[in-house]
Amino acid sequence: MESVDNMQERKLEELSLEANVACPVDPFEKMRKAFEEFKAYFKKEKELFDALAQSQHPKWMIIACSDSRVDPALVLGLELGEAFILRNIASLIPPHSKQSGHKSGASAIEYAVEHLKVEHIMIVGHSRCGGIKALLEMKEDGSNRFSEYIEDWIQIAQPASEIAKAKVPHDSPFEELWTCCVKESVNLSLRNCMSYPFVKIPMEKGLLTLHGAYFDFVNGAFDVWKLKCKIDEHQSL
Amino acid sequence: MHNAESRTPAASVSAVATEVQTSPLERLKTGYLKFKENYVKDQNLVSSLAEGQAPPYMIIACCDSRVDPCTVLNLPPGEAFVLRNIGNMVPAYSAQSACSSAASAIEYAVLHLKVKHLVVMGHSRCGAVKALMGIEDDGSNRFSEFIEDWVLILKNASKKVKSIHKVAPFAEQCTACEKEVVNASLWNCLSYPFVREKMASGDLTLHGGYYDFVSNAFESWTLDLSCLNDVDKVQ
Repeated sequence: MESVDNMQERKLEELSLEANVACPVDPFEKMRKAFEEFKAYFKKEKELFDALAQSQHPKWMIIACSDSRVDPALVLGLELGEAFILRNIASLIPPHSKQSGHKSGASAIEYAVEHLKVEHIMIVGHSRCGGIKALLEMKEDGSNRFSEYIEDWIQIAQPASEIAKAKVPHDSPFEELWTCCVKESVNLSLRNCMSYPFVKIPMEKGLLTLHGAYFDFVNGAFDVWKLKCKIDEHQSL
Repeated sequence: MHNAESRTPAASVSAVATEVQTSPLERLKTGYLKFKENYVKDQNLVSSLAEGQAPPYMIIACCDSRVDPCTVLNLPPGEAFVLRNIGNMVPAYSAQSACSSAASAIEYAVLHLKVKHLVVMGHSRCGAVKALMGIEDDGSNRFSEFIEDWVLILKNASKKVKSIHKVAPFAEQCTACEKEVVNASLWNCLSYPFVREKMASGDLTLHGGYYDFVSNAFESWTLDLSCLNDVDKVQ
């Protein structure tokens, strides 16, 4: 009987070849046409793309939600090469930890700061975020758990949920709590970013600035704020 | 949104030059106001997206600044739910894994947004793949706190490439690994039961993509449903 490894290797080999399309209508036709347009743009901008082919020097790292309505390159009109972009549900960054499971956020930030030497990190929250809504609706006893992975991921923002619930009056419309929680979650992720030594050190030297942002596609607004670390003047007791 | 016809080389080069002189936030403000101006022209889209999203695609792409999938594939707001990490990597299903950004995003896209197509998009000159290929077996050249641990989730892809392309130059091996990583990530997507179920019922198709910004080309391929039978046996 074929071993698991051999079976997997064989399958990977087969997948390496151009596979047959399973369905009759090519679902990529729209994308292929779009890429043809992009190709024409690429040809025009030869100088820019020749430089980018060699290396990237983005000034920004942007952390945004996976939500289809909030692509930061589209929303902020960014050219290719300008921003290194991490996207996950609710643009969350867990705190620095030796034991965390997968390290997708930490590795991306480390690469951006230490290797690409980005000068700015911006975490963007947004209106009507499904991830934050799920967080706010989670019962403490876990009795309304609905997923295998989503709650475990979104739990990263649990402290933000507590802050928002304390800030917003109980009788306010849900939308207000939702908005507040998204912004508090951005602030929490910014503070978690700072817990990484490779972020904290350049910040303290003034080489890296952290920004929070809230994209409201309901009312058409984009708010930004900075995270400032200030050591006050010494006072004698 | 990008409109190829509205750009001239001179305009773009001067746009880059302006970026260097204006403050970084001014640069974002200019970009946002331009987006807003275009976006509000389609009030139907604006109101429907305010209520909810129903993207047909989920795309898993690299964080690399040169490969924004919505830009390269001209996908407007609402079209694609996008997960981005270094190396466009998807870890295999694990009942014990805590805090998985990829697993939670795929679960949400497949079960809640009910996307029809899941695309893993690799690219040329990927720094994460280069890092993976450069790791010594004994870990003696470790250079980071988190990067190696992350990229090693697909160490089988680099092992396979090194054995098949033993004598090829390193750059060629990396190119082969960039495509192998896409396939390995697709294979790992299949290890999630909810992905397999949706594929089996015909509600979801998995695709690989490779964007080569050196030669200005985009390859794509689709997963054949017959590979589902093998996955079940492996489990």
